[in-house]
Amino acid sequence: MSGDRYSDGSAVNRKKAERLLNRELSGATDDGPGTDLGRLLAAASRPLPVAPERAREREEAAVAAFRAARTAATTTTTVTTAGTPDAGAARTPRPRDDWRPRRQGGAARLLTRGNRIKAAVCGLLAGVMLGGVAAAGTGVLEVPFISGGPDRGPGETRASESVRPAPGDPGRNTPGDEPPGNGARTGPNAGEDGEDTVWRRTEATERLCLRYGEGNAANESDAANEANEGAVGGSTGAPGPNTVRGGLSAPAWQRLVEAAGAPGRVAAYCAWVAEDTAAERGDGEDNGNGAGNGNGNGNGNGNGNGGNNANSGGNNANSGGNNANSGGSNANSGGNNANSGGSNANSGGNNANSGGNNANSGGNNANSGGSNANSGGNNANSGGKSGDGGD
Amino acid sequence: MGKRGERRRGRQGDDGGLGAAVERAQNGDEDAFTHLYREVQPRLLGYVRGLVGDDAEDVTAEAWLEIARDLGRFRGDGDGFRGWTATIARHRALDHLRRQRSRPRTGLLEQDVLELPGRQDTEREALETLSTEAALSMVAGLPRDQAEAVLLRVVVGLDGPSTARVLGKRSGAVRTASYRGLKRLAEELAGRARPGGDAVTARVPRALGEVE
Repeated sequence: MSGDRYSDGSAVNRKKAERLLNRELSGATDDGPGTDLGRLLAAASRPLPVAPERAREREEAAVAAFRAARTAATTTTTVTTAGTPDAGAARTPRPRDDWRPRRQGGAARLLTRGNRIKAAVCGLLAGVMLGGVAAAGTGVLEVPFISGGPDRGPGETRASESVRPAPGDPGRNTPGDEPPGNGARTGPNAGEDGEDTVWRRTEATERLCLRYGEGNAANESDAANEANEGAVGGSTGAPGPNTVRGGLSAPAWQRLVEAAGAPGRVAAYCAWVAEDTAAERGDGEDNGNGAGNGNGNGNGNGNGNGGNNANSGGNNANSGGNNANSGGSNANSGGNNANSGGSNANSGGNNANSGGNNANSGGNNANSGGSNANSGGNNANSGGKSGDGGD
Repeated sequence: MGKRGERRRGRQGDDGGLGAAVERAQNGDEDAFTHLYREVQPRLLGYVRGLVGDDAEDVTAEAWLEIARDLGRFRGDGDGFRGWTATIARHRALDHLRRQRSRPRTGLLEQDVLELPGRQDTEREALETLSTEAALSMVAGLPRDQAEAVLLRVVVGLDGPSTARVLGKRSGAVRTASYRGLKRLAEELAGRARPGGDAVTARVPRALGEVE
């Protein structure tokens, strides 16, 4: 076949491939002759047969969930930034929920160095211009969130001078060119070297922090994705050497350093990312448990290692990866762990807990509420009874 | 079973009215939500089937709970809605795979393998009667990154950039994976059809959970 050649010597006819891949987009139906591959893909695209009764039940369950969510939204008075109550759009959009079409390219374009800096500066300017400014006694400027919602930065900042721009709605935040639609969550900056770096959380840094946390945790997660190019994509992580860099490649590590402001602050940055991510998820029923042994939802279960773990409710024990738990009793080790509620025990990695009884060891731990016991790493706690060990 | 509905046109044009339905559903219109479900669920089911095999219905049911709950947060048009729901479904599927990890999966059933056309069938006839399950099984048998790229492009009907976003990868990587996947599928089909070749493919397709 003519076409491009890849490093493995394979040749692909791009035009034919794109035609096959675009068959849905172009509205092409399978015409008579076609190719074997075309027929295969057509067969794969047909609706799977489902027993009508079961299909109806599933549909009813989904609609019931919709009704429940609608009821919940209308009984809570939530005011948007425009000042008008809007039941349907009451929830603040997270970057992952923003799928508005953009003029330029894909998400990757937003993550180039120039765009990151531009987006950060624009966010900074917008925050200063649009919000009221209350100067705290320590000299910290705090700009209220544009899109509403509580300030969710972890702990107290140690900086004497830092600016925390409002992480507003992406569509409003940039007077300049393309909006950072893929997430410009910003957070406090904890001073020390690199103190003029504004912490921003993007989907890319979330992923890097996941890998960093996994690499730093002494976990036994299965390596599952070495065949994949690019990012982990939120699934199980490859076991990395227990190095300071968390097993990240030099370019990946460099990107984290840039995001955090300094190599020594990467751990704290990733703890903030984990906590901010968990806070964004709210009290969701999302249960994602680490790979490995002993996974569970609900009560009395321990989860294995690696991956990104998000648990809510029950007693959840996670190790490795990035763990976000809410409710119940949660035990995590390794990775970046964010827990809320319940009794949470974390060790290693970056852990963020809120509520409940939280026990963490190692890594970077951010807890709020409940009874928290941390050891090792960088721990930020608020509320509850906190026992900290280490930094 | 919900009908597939109108054929999509993609970002270049009309998205089958999905965007309007999303807005109405976000404003509380239950019929609009039902319309969304019927339009989107068949594609999600096919995609998730390729990821987890038999448990696809349970996994998509979980996904719809999350979709319904978070509907108010979504921003975008009909194509964006497909990408957003596919991302949610993928997370649920991966969570499911992790929970299942300790248990060996029969996954891709022996039945599916048996359904693959035998040597004696003519090529075209065999492929025309290829069941959806068997076809999905073949795609699911690809290396995971290739399988997901093909499933999202072909079954869910996402464009390249949306597919890359769902997978959390660069567009170039996803494009490469999808091309390789197609090439591999074509080779498998050719291998099966070759006279004297094994009627059942030399490589038994597996659900993605087993590939790991």
